[in-house]
Amino acid sequence: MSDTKLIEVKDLAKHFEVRAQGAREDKALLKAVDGVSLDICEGEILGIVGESGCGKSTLGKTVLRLQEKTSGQVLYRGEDLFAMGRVDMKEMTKNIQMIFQDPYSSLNPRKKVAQIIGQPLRIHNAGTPAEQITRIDHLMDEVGLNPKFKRRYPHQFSGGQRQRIGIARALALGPEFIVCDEAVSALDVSVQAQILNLLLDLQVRHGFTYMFISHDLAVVEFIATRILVMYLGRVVEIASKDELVNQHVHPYTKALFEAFPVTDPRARKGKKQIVMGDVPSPIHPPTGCHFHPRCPYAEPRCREQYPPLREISPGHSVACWVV
Amino acid sequence: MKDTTKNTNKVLLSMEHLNFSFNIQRGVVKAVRDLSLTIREGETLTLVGESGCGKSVTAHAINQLNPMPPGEVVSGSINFKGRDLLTLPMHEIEALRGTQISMIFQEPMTALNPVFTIGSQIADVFMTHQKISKQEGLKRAVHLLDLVKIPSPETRVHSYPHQLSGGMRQRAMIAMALASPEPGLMIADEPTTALDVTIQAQILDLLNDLKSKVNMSILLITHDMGVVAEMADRVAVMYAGRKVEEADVFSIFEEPRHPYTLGLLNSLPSNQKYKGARRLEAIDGTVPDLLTIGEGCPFCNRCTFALPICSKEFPGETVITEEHSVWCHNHKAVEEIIAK
Amino acid sequence: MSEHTQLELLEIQEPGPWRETWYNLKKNRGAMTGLGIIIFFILLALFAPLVAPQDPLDQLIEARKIPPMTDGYILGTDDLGRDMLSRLIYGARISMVIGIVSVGISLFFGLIIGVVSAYYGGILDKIVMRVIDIMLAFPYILLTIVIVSILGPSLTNAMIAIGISQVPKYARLVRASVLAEKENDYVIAERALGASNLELMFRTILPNCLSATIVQTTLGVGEAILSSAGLSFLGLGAQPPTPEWGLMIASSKEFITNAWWIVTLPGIAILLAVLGFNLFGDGLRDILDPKMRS
Ligand SMILES: Nc1ncnc2c1ncn2[C@@H]1O[C@H](COP(=O)(O)OP(=O)(O)OP(=O)(O)O)[C@@H](O)[C@H]1O
Ligand SMILES: Nc1ncnc2c1ncn2[C@@H]1O[C@H](COP(=O)(O)OP(=O)(O)OP(=O)(O)O)[C@@H](O)[C@H]1O
Ligand SMILES: [Mg+2]
Ligand SMILES: [Mg+2]
Repeated sequence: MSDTKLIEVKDLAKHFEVRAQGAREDKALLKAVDGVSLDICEGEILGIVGESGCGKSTLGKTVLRLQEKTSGQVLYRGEDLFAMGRVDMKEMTKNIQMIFQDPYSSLNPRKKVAQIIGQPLRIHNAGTPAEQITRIDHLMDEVGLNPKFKRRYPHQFSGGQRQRIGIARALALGPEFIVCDEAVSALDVSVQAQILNLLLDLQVRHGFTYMFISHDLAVVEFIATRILVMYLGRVVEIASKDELVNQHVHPYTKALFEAFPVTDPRARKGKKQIVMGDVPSPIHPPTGCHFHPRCPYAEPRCREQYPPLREISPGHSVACWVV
Repeated sequence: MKDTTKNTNKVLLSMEHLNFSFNIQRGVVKAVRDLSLTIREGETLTLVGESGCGKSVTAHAINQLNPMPPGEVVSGSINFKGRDLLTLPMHEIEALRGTQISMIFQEPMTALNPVFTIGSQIADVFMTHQKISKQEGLKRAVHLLDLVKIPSPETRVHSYPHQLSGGMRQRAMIAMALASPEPGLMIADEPTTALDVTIQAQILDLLNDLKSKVNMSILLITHDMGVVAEMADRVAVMYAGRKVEEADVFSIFEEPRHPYTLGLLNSLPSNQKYKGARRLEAIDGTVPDLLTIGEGCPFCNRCTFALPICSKEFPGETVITEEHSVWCHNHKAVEEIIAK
Repeated sequence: MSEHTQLELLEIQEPGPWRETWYNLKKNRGAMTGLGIIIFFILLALFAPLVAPQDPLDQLIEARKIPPMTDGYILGTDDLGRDMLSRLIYGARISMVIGIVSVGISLFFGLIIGVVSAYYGGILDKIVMRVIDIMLAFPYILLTIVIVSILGPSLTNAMIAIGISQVPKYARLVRASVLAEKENDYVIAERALGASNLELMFRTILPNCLSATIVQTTLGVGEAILSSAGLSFLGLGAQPPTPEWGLMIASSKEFITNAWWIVTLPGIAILLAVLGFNLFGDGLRDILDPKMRS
């Protein structure tokens, strides 16, 4: 791992205009990502955790400019992605890639495996057709698929194998940075372990940098080198893995770790307080700190002002008034 | 621990040698093979296994929710309070559903009626069993919603299912299950898979809480070993339609005897032994196709302990302790690994 | 990955999407009847010169209004002594061409409009949809008549008119399925690979939307045949002496009392052809509609 910053996200926001519930004409603003800043260094695996709807996928897609931003900046090696023209952006897709959650919907059902994996090569005219075919074989081999099966359709593979196809496609152009959006969440535990191993092997072999999005704390804890916790579109805590796992301070991070079921039946009696209440709607988030209605430590000012993200120790930042 | 007293409790449901198949265009899917389970009163039995291993089919066989055809009970019996459910006429099964055998699903929206308020749906359950007025039924519904910890239950009884969050819908489903006069068995098929972790923790806590209040048995289906550790008294591990190991929850986690159970535990990134490690001990390969599966052990193609006999015949039961059984030709080898 | 896994894959022989459709189709009796009728008419159309006993335009003054099954005329002759059977066979050729060309026109423009409007969304989509709403507010046959009147009555113009007036229907159908399809992750995935908008629209999304349009296309051919017969009947389509079924009915309607076959036989031909396409289309819909499968 080096200290060169590969990705810098500065105050990124992505808002969606949605129809407010009930009222027909009322437009409401859904702040899916609301002022997120982060850096990712070369060779790092940044884990992003948070509950459903907190904006993890939106963050991942906006960082790759698969969606337009509302405000803020995304720099790739110092270059602003959103300032790029179409040609440059197409060139950029060689460096940045994405692996998706759902191995069922992320592969075109009408294309054969060879076409799916070969598509990026074709789009970017990478090599002669013969070279492309050898490359496809090589890629399938690398992710643990037998090249014999390249003339099959995605529905003829199991979930784990489909995920391998998606990984091979992302690898085709030799990217540097890969966003894995819930890349193992849809898989069975035993297959999930295979894919996690594959992702780690590939990282070692090619020096990839990952942004690893998951709602599964155990998976993120295993794979990440640094962890970021999101709640309703904002960063609430970010630290290196060891620090976040052992010394998390934000009440929401605590609640998350508390709620996560431990795979040890003897530990169950040791459970403490479970945080109550539901995740609020991102359309009308609570005023002030978004977590205050569920927070056992909330103070009056939590209700009024959103706490800034401040560094409490090197590399460990928290957005909370009470810590 | 309380599991030592478990044996004395009465058996509520016993499933014996159930074989369940689906006859489809391409052949016969043997979804459940030779499966026996017992659930005692006040006990939580969890069924774990990979997707498609037959957990839901097993659960649905109990209250006969499997589509038939293409589904078919090939053989076996399911005794519930002394009656064989598989030979009961349909109207008696329907009378049992929602009263003595209730069910909560992964997606509660599919089980709640979208055009009625949750209050009136709960009141309806009361009114089918007792001669009470709608007013009285609603009053009891408020009480139940309070019991399952839905905030401001007086106003929530008048909500429609779509106005509730996922967690609240799941609570409403649980409340409905509790509305019957003698909730005997609750079948929970992945009740928290669609929920956030903090909400999942609330629901699991609620289920444990209720179980101790009303003497209810739970058949909990899940693929999440964390939920198993949190909830189970006993665990049955399924693989490709077969039960491969059954034991109390501590034995399963601490002394597994089946290679699949061992592999499953080793696949968990949360496993203590992976602290600081960069590699998991995954099980290679994939689950076999239930259409072409033979008579051998379904796990043999992925098993590192496989013997030549494994691909030919499915092993018989080996009793390790009174609570712990395994179906494996080579369980001794697993025992040695664990001992190390 | 272990060898086992690879071996297992060999055993999984899932039928492809087309094979599965065909299998289900074979079980659907209505659809198979429809398919039989369609194939029958297509063969007639293709081999008309070989099958027809006579030239459909040959008039024989001394053999006028001969009833069916007499003097070697299987279906009799019309008021000008032309062989009915030959005229009906050549009529099949015209009707098939009309059906296919006009549906082709609707499909071509409908697909483009539907895909582009759904893909880009926003203002463009709103405008397109309002225009479509307006066009759909006119009775369809009225719209066709207006267009033919502007272009001038002829068979070609009838085809164009029928084609154009059906465009909104196809556009709306395609738009709906593109809207659903474009939310899938594979579209985002291919965009992440650098695929251009054009490629995404027509190579990625469109092929996945075709099953919905196939049903409409099949039903549409039947509808187009019927409409063209209607237009010709009104004198706005085919012109004499073309052996077009609708025109045949129109030009012989005064003989309904004394030579019924001249009017009735083309009517039956229209009925059969339209029935064939409708039966087949309905059967396809039952098979392809995911709600019908469980
Ligand atoms: N295209 C869109 N239009 C409107 N709202 C959207 C859109 N995409 C996402 N959202 C909303 O933005 C919020 C964040 O969504 P996002 O998919 O990023 O969440 P997530 O953290 O990835 O959740 P999950 O864990 O369920 O995948 C959600 O409330 C979602 O409804
Ligand atoms: N209606 C059906 N027709 C044909 N096969 C079916 C049907 N329902 C289930 N099956 C098959 O039976 C097997 C067991 O399915 P089941 O739903 O019990 O799996 P499960 O263990 O509940 O999996 P999951 O964790 O994904 O819910 C699967 O292989 C499935 O394909
Ligand atoms: Mg997401
Ligand atoms: Mg299931």
